[in-house]
Amino acid sequence: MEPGHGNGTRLDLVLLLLALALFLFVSPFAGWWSGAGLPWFTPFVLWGLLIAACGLQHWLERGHDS
Amino acid sequence: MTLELWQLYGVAVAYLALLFLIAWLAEHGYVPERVARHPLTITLSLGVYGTSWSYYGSVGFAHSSGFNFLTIYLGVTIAFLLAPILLMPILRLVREYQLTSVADLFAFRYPGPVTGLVVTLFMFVGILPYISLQIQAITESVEVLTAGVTPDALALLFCVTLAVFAILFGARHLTPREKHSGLVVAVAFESAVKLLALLAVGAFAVWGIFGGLAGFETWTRAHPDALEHLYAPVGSAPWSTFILLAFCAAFLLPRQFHMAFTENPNPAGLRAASWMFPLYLLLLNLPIVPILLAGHALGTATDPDFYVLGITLGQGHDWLPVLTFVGGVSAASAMMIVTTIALASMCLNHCILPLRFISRRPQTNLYRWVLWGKRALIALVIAAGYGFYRVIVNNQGLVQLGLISFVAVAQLLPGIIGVLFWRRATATGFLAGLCGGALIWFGMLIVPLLVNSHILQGDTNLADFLAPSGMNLWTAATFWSLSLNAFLFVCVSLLTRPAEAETKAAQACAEQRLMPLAGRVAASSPQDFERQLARLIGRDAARTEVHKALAELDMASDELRPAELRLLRERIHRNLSGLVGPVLAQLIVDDRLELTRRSHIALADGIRFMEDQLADSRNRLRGLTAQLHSLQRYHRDVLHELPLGVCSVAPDGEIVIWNYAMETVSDIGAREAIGKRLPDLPDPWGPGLARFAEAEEHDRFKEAFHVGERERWCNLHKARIDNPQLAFQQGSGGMVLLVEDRTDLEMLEAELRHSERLASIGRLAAGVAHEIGNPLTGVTSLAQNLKYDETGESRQKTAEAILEQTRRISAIVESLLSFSHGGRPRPLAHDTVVVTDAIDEAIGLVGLGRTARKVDFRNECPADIVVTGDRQLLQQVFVNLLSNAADASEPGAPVTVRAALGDDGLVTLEVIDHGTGIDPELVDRIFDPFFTTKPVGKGTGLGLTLIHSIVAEHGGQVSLAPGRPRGTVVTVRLPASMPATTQPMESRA
Repeated sequence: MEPGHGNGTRLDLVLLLLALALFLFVSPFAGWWSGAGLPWFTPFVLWGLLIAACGLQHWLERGHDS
Repeated sequence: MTLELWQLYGVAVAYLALLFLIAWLAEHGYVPERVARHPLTITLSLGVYGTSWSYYGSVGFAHSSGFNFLTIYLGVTIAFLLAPILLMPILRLVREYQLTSVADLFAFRYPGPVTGLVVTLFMFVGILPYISLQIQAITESVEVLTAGVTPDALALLFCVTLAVFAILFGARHLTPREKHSGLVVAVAFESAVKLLALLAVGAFAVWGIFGGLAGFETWTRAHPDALEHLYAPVGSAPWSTFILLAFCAAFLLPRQFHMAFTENPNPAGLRAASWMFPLYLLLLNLPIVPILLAGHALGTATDPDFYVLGITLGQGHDWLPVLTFVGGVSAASAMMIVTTIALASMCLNHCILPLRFISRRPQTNLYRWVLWGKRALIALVIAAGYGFYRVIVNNQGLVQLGLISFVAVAQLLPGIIGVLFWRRATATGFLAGLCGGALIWFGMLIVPLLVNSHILQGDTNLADFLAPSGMNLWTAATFWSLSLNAFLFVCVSLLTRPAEAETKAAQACAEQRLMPLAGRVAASSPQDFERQLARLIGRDAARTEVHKALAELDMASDELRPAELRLLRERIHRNLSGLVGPVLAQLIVDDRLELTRRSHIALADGIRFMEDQLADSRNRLRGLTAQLHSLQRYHRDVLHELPLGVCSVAPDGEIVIWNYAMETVSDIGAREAIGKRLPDLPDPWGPGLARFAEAEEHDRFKEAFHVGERERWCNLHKARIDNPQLAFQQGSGGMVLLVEDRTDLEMLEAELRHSERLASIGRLAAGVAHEIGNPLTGVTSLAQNLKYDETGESRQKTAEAILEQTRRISAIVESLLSFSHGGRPRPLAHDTVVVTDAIDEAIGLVGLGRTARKVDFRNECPADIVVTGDRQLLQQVFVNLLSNAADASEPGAPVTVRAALGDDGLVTLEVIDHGTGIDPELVDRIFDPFFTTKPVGKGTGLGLTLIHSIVAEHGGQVSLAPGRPRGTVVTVRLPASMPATTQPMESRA
């Protein structure tokens, strides 16, 4: 991987995660899942998915750095 | 079950004592370092975010506003997933510039007399509701457990107890850069306790109240309105507003800033926390809905804010309410301890110490001031929080108080954007925006509190105007305050010009290192640094700070180089920033360690800065920049690997380049030489190179340097650097010195000359034996006749004749010894040599040889011709010339030596023979080493080469020409006195 490429990839992933977070919780999609009669733990599941994605990004970043 | 007040107080104190014990054990190494610095520990320490609001208030928030309670943690999640571009840059700044608080960060980025003060005061006022929230939570939780009204004294007692523990945690002794390793472990433990407590209550709600997950599902299906109420606020305006507020609070709240950045022992932990901390928050909030619904199911009379406690009472598990109470104490106490430590540090650095400094009263001991000041301020902060609680809060919910503080903290958001991303932002713009936003915040959120508490009178307020009926108060307050804040921040920044200090700070914040300082530190040594600082911060503090900086830089205490002293100044500045904040540190350093005015940066510093920048950034260089960097490294490597010593001197006289060959020839390392001036180098190099640099000549040959017991012989060359830009900036382009080590060559030449002299003597051996044999035979005969001498007079005559013969032998031996002496290189001697006497001596030596004895040597040199030179070397020249002439001559042929002094000051000496002569085609090669026309074994071919070398050393010339009508004329021209370039070195150490 070229020097400097790691930083660009890192930024891409972070922005992707931000987009995912905004989509899940701030966009009209939030209005959809809140009105769909889903179980009480639905927001926690979505939250957990976002956390898992962050964990994956961190794992990828550690692999690149090492 | 009801508990007694004193029992609960005892439990709280015992728990706080346990926390303190954990902190003490961690500080004294009983907790392994790998545990203290583990990412899980750091993540749990960030759990100080979960206060009484999370522990108790979330359930009340869920009751009143549904899933809005999750927004307070979703916002944090978004902030942490942005860790690489949001949190890590802040951490870099905090670590690199020793910033200890959020006020330090803004004071650093927006340098000015009041930035830190304004941020500190605003944070102080803004966080008071949050502190009072904790006090309220504790007192109301005690009311729930004791089923009675809590005496007012309990809140005061709780505050006093917490103040003591806060001082024990954060101001027991001074720590550099506000690092309290024990506090991190203690807060991590506290976070684990409250998580476990809440999970236990949640598990009890599901299994104890609903009979299991199935029972819980059944109840929720039977009560759909409960879930509808939970989901209703999702996606609404308050939902987004709370996410934004929590996003700001995640890293701008003083306690969060303190734990995430100031106390963080392991930067890698913050990266791991980007997902581990949101996971912790998810687990912390998972029990909230079951607890809420359990409270509804039980129909408990407790305020929903305290369902956590309420549902555990009277259920047959006496330990559960106590555990729950401990969790609440844990949540409240950690928040208050960390917040007071953070706020006390801010107040000390930005309010108290600068005022003391400005008053110009000399500090007897800076450390004592810092320590006692911090203790007093911790007590003051808690007292102010208690005061706010007593005066204001009685009819406010827990969440409402917390949200007031969140909106206050959110006013720092535009400023942090300027710190990280917008270099054009100015201090004036930041302060204008902050004040505008603070005014809106105060008018919409604080004034109604004061009116409700009958401290202010009035029917209408800003909240009614800006948040008309139907609009959520928090959305309106956040929107209007941040809008005005951002508007003023941008407009005023664009209308004002940033000061030089602001521009530099902006560069530093944008991952660009600050350029090295221009100028020379007025203090000339580390001892001088101590003396200057002692006048302001006390002798002990000054000594400690200077020695600490020297140790961190691995610098000697006798360091004198200007570039290194600048580094020392910079390090002291950073360390003081960690102790007293950047504002006061800057004042101290500017006052006591001032830089002399200078418009340009020292070239040595500029090169070091550029190389450091390139070393740090090489992983990010691409394209042409990367290639230029590779080319720069290649050229630098070529310079360093040259077999020639290279010393480059900047226009200000500081050494900039000192390559490997210079290190080898001088035994002075680059680290020791770079930054020094030439005269400051150790003897003999310093004086020698400095003299050469000042001299007119550009070259100097065979310069001798006495290094201890050895002598080094070097050719020196120099050249001025023709760089118009550098000359324009700094007055001249500098200079480069080249040092060519010819010690080995010099020793070889000396050995060669010695060998040639010995070879000459060898050729004379047969003649020497004959010349010594004759007088010895005479001595033998005279001694034999002595016994026959009868009279004293005849014996006297015989004895004198014997003495005469022994003197003759002695003279021959002495001349041989004198001629053969030497073999080590040494400076040319300054002997006064009478040419005719030297020729006579040479004739005497050469005449010892069998062949030369038959030659007619004629010395026609005038007696008054004198040259200054090395007698032994000149004699070697004459012996070789006469020996060659004799070898070429027939027996009885004349060999004439003439000398004359010309008008040009040169002595011309001619050796004329009438022998075989030299082939004209060979004349050009006659001085080449090992070239000879004699048979093998009769000559080494080095004689004329050495003659040429010796004459050149004396500043003269030698040439050959055919004689008339035959033979050879060898002409040697020597200055009557030696030229300056061949002057030997003066005596040295």
